[in-house]
Amino acid sequence: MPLIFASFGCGLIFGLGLLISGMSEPEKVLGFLDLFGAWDATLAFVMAGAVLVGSAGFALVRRRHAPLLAPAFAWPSRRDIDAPLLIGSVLFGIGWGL
Amino acid sequence: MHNFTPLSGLLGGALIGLASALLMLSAGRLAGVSGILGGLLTASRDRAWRLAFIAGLIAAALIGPLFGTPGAARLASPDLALYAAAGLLVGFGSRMGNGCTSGHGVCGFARFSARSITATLVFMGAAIVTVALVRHRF
Repeated sequence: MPLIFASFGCGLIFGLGLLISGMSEPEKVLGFLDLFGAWDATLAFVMAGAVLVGSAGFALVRRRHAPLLAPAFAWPSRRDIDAPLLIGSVLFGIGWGL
Repeated sequence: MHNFTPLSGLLGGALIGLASALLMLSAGRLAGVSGILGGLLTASRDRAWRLAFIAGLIAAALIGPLFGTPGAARLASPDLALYAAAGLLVGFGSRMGNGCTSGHGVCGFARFSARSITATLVFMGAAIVTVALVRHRF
């Protein structure tokens, strides 16, 4: 039960972050992707904020043996860069840009 | 620069980073929305936390505007077939590439994962090229 509340809370904070940053508006995102048009660098600032806080947070969390409300951390284990990763990313990017 | 809102961008981004760190701290999970949603749709054992996270996202969209945030997405284009095609590409691409803007772009970057950083640069590049072609060539 606490896990449900915690997950909900994280989704809520994540969602508020999306709204406040303007990233929930397609035009705002397209403004960043439109490098040759009316360019809006905001998305870069969103990523900077997210990575700065996220990396500090992850570094702190990594010191623990286990999460608070679950048996173990599910850190991704894959380190390789393979064709599906690259092709999938290209496809994702095209769809995102469209 | 048009429409540049760096402060709210930074603040919103910081909240996204915070949410990601808190999810790892509490549930031991990465806040990669495509993965969370994907796990819900394939019959997965751990559905409860996934549903709760998605519910939180939706709740934010509902209560945010009450506090003055912009509302959730307005359609950028009325072309529904285009949306369907884009949706297919985004969905298929994120499953194939094992992540999306939050999974690779935020969490992967925050973990300094070469795999994620590569994926992010590739999909950003593809998106920029796509927008350039669609907006300025056709």
